[in-house]
Amino acid sequence: MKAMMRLTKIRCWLLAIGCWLLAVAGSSCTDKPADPTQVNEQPSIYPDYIGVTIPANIAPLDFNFSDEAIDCMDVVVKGSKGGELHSNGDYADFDIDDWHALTEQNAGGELTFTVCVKKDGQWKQYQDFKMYVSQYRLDEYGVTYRRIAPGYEVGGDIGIYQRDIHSFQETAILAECIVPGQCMNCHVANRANPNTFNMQLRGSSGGTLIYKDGKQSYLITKTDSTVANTSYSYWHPDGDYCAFSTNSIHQSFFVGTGQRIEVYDTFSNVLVLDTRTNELVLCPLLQTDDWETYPAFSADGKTLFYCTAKPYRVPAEWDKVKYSLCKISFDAKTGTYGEQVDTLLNARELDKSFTYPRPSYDGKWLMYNVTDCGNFPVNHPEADLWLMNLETGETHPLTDANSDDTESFHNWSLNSRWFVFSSRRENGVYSMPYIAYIDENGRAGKPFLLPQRNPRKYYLEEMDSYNCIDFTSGKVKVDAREIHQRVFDNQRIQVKIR
Amino acid sequence: MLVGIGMFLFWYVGYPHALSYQEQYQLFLWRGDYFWERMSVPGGFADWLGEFIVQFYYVEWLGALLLALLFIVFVRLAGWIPAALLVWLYGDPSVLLGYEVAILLAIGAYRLNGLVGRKGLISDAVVVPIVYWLTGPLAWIYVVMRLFRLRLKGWPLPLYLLCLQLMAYRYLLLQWTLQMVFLPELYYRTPMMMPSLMWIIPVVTVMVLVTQSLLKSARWLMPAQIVMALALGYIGITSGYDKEMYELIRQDYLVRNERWDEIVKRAQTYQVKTPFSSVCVNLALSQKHQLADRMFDFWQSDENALIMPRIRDLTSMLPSAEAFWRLGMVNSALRYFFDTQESILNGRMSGRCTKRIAECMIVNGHYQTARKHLDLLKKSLHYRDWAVEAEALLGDEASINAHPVYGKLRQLRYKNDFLYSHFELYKMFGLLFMNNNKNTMALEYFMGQMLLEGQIQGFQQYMPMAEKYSGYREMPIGYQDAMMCIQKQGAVPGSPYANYVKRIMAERRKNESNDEAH
Repeated sequence: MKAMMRLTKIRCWLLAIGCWLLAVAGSSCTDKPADPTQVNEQPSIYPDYIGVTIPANIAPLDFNFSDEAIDCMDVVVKGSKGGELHSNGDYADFDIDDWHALTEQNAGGELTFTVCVKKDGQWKQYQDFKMYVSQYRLDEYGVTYRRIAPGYEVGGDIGIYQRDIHSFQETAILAECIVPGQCMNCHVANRANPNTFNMQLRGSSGGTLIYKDGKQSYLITKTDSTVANTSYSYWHPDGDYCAFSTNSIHQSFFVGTGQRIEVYDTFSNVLVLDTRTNELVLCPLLQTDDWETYPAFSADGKTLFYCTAKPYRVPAEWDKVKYSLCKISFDAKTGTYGEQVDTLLNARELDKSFTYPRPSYDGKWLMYNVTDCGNFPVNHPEADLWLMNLETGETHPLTDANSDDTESFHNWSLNSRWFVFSSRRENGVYSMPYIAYIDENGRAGKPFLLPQRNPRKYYLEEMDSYNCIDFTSGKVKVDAREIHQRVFDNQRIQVKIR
Repeated sequence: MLVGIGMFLFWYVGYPHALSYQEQYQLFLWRGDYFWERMSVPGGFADWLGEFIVQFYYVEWLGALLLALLFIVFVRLAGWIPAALLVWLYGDPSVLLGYEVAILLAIGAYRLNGLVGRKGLISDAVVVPIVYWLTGPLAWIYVVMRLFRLRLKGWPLPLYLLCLQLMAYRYLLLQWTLQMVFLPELYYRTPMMMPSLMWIIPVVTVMVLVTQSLLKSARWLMPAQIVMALALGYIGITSGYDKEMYELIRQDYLVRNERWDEIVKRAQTYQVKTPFSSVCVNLALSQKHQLADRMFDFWQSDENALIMPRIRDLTSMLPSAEAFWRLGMVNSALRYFFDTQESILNGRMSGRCTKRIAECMIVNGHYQTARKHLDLLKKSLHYRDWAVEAEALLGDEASINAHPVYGKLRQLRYKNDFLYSHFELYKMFGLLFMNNNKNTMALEYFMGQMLLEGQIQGFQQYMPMAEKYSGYREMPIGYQDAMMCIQKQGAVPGSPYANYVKRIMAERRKNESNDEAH
């Protein structure tokens, strides 16, 4: 009995010591800056949030000090319209509710950050920096994206995820484990609607998933009259039609040290699917021997933008393939196309390739990618974002959002004041999610990397790229198991030609 | 004890390549979030513990020792017959060690919890969810055994576990199918392909344990079990360990460890007739500067015998990737290693691939991404020291250029950028050699690829160049043989190259006639 008691005591002591050790190990520094040395420069922080414009209710923009070998960081945030926030620890880590309260209070104003860093027992205070809180809100629930290792021909452990942008919560929409061996492509929602979207699944049981108001349809979209299954897509605003391209997509790989991959088509056309009847609506002007791709409906649904290129002998002549940006009218009432194609940007004249058009939902702007050639900007280091004023036809690069590396996979917020995109600016290989503000003149603010708790740890350890990123107004609640069933039971519906 | 020694020798002497195979398809990270990520699903703890042990396979004798010890515990806890079936099951290299760990945890929990009656039921209210979370669906072993111990009073236990599983299915495991929730699929590397033995073993385990309890006094029981286990073990080892598959795994293991002589020696007596095997043997020959002489002394699959095209699985591309790396085709090596890693269907990283990926990035000067991969390796046990050393090189151009491997590869790789074409391999090898005429491996691959493809004119045309730059004192025997075949239009009895050409021609004719028939 005594032995038992002794054993219990020892266990209690061990537990107590363990708890204490855990507490010590888990705790961050709690020093307060004492008599800091003034440094005549702004702090070097990761991510670079200095001077960014943010929406009021975004998740806290936590950041690390670039130098990892610090003892402690102390950050005080003051709002121009009042309010104050304090963080002290290994990195700047703000409470979500406090951060929201401060940013809401300072909407239309600015936040001033005072950063003090303790290193080798010595405190240093850096020059203050600012973040600007936009008066325009970003009330969407979050963003959706595909996470995929930036590999070559094997998708690996890919998945489509959603992230609440007001907190740090990420959930899977469709993970690889439930549809093993199937490559899943972009989740494309209709104007950020979580209840209307499509996605493509590739593999032996591949098909096109259409999800509308809780109902799933799994389609075979290749017909005798179309050359391949559907690929890139964009919903008509009324939700009945969805434009697709049908592409024969290939990849080739460079042997040098620059660009790694070139993705190209050997043919492609554009068509529209009537999701009410599962019929394809074809147009001879979009079914030519040229390569039409990347359809996108205008905000009012009356115009279909797309890209088209003259065919070349690929992959040998990969660098000669350049896409023009065109448009054709579309009447959703009758499901008919116009009889004339207008060229908005001519690839041959401008000697560039214009792809991935994304119209703003207020009908004012068209954002697109500019590259030297090709139709897959994510693999082109020179890929930049440009904006066209749809009223005047004037274009300009989004200079403050662009970088020396790839920008791609962009789309708009519902109020057309924010856009989200992927950029490889950090290391040239991994696409990372950025959000940027855009003003009434089409000038972008400095973009900010999607906030994470302890962002350096998160992004350093993150081995996936973020592709096909888009806003979602609510949480997507699709039944992944039903998708599994449809994929593996081959419950696919063959579409017809209207 | 004897069993332990037997198992140790089985793995250490007989199947060290199986240990290497398991180790290279995971990268155990000493990180809290790695643990918690595994712990976030039922059975994740056993999976984590299995991976923890597998990381020690990097040191072969230690891996074999741990497996032997684990096996002894398994025999003691589960019995001889399930242990024999387990040996049989391990013939399938996709089975993960977490499976064995989970069974041990479930039985261990049963052995520890000797409480019966009301106390027993109360304890199970706590223990069942814990065992379920630690072992996944293998918690049924615990529940059934407890039911047996508690007799009629234990009737709520199966319902309890069933409810737990259904609740997990409904609220937590939203990306899991019902099959994943109820079967131990987590412990099998290839999803939806779990072999029947993985559910048979738990059933047999329960039957054995129940029988042992019921027939405690029967003296014949133990000898009968041992005899049956020996019979099952024999059947398992002879039929469960596919000879060809394990020979290929062994070849890859020897490539990984640069044991070139052994590859050649084994191929002299037994060579599996696949492109994979040809790639391994040819790589070994090239590393021993014997490719030009002896290439066609060994079985050559076809035009893919030097480099295989991309295949989506976790093994096929590895020898080709190693060949690319040594040739100086760094980007192609990177591509093959990356795609191999992404082909691991349970989503794990590969220590071996990650290391090579980081090396490719260092050679290419992509230091930011190299750092990302090195940072991962620094969290592992066996790759850490290497990663720390490699990290010190990042950005240090002088040190990289002076490095015996990286510096050399920078000299060998292509100076100009163009698109890779598997259909024009010999041209690519030729360009690689023209890039640096000290790259004799590229020269031998260039000449060899032309022979494989039957590019006779090209081979004759470039013979003088091969003689000039290869450093051979006389024309290699393999080239002499090929030249003789060309001159005599194949009429050279006993010629290895002539035999290859005849076989390929016959295969092509057969394929063409099959195509016409279809």
